[in-house]
Amino acid sequence: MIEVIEARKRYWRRSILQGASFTVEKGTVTCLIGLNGAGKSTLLKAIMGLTPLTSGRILVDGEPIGPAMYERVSFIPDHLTLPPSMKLWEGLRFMAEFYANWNAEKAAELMTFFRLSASDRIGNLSKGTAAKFNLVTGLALDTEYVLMDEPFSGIDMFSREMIADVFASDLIEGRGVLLTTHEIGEMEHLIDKAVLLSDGVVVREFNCEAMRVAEGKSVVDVMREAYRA
Amino acid sequence: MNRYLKLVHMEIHRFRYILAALLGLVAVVQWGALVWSARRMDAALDEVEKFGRYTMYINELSDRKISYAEAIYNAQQLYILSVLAVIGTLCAYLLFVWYRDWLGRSTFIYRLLMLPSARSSIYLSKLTAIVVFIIASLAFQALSLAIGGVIFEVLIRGDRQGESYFVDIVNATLVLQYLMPLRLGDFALNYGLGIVAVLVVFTGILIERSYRWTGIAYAVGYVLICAAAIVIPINVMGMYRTSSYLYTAEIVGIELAIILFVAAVSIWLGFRLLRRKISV
Amino acid sequence: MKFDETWTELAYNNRDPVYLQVVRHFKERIAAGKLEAGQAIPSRRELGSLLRINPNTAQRAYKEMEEQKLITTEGNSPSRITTNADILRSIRSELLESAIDVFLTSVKSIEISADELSELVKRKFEQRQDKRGPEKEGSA
Repeated sequence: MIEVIEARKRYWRRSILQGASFTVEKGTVTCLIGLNGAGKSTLLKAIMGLTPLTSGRILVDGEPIGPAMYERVSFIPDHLTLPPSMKLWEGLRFMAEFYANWNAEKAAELMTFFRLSASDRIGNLSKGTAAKFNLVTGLALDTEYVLMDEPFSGIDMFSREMIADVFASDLIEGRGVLLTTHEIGEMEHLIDKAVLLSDGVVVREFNCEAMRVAEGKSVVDVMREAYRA
Repeated sequence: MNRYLKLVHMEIHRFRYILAALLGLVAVVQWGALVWSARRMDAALDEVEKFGRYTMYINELSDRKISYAEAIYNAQQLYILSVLAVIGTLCAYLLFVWYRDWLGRSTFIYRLLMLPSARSSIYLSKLTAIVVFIIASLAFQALSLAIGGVIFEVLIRGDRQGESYFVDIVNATLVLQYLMPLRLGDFALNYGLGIVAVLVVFTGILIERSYRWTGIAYAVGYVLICAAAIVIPINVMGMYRTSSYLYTAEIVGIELAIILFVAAVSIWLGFRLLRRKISV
Repeated sequence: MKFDETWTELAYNNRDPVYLQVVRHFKERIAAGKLEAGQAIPSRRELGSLLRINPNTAQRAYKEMEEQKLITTEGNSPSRITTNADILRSIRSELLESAIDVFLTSVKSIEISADELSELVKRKFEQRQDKRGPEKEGSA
């Protein structure tokens, strides 16, 4: 379980996070929801150690974050993380060389699933193809947790469907997934848990199906309530 | 260790075309300049022999021979330019080797920071790559001088060739005197200071990347403080005064200690920033 | 039996629990004859893929269907639709009754007697039968 405890982050005078706390359990898909600039990306980066928190703690399976955790938690940001001069197959080889838990078969499967050509150059990929390649590098790692920042932003509808299919497949099974997205309406039926972020704190944290059973509300309904207030 | 070496390989691999271009430039410019200069001197010698006319290259007092070192001396502007081009590019790359991983569509720094190995290997691999480039350039320059010597021998008639000792060749240009000092102590000092400068700049870059807006000020401040720490004591302790409190050897010793201290602090600070404070 | 094309038509209503919508979809298929008694159904994982839902939801739907005795699982073989005639019949009546409930609620505000209502229903039903007449053979 990933635990974010009282995360605070301040840039100069601006407070982005003011004590956000939530958890991500294994085997569930959790969606971090918030308006633009609410601090979603910051939280993901903080969990991955890519930016420091002003205060607060983050624990992965009870332990604080550190280099060893990169074999257990994988991050897929909304832009590419490999040099543009590399070809796709070189990028895959890079991952294989540096990560012990790189699963080459899964990578090959995903490359086929997304219809990517290994001889393309990373710098020449279109936005949609780049997003798919990003998913390949993130998902082909046998990690217990996967973090995704806006996997759908700026992607055409068909590519989006392909990416959404990943959530329904066994690639996600057993892993704890944390993602942020603006397309919550399209994604609702795929996520297990929603965490609503507002003014730097978590205002609602709930299981989606339970909310539907108990109050007949969709996630979008709850969002309207929370953000109008 | 393994991952560190892979990173070093990657860093060198990324730069290979630029390095090749730089070394190619050195070869082409220097040999070209050599050929031009040698031919010019040769023609001057012809002038003297045929018409008895002296020019600035050959006068009454010279021994009617052309040496390799002289040829270089007469074309040294081009030599200096080619060397400065390499130095300039490597200096720019000191910054670019870091910033290239942040700029553009593809932020490789994310991947580097998320590697399951210690982050210090990122710093060390970039440092190692720079050192490798410096050594490669230096070695190539030496090789190029040697090849130049062969070119010279082929170009000029045997009886007109004067002797050139390595010392003369090196001293023929202003830059090579600093880049290829013939005393081990000077060599160690020049290159040692160079490496320490790289360390200070790297740490300055990491400061800027960790603190963003104010980071630039902190970074520049850091570089200046380090420079001051190394330079000022030399004068304060009276290195160039005839009478001072300390012996020269003692001043040198203290100075070395300061330099080592600055190096250690830079490395320590750089590692710490990478581990805790760096922000993408 | 190929499942692919026929299974991905679900448009999800985000206010009702997704797993229940899946169960309902199964019931509709059974009542329509598209799923036969004793027929094997995709595994939990395959279902998640086919229907494009989260594997947890597929799991929960499975569990619900097992509890309602809609499907039976024996050991390691694929789950099958129940062959129990009582249950199959009750599915049919359940769906019909809930459709009727919805219909009656929608005509609640209109003043009409039960006889007149059933006359209208019968006429509409027969009209549709005629239209669909020639095609009827192809649907099973």
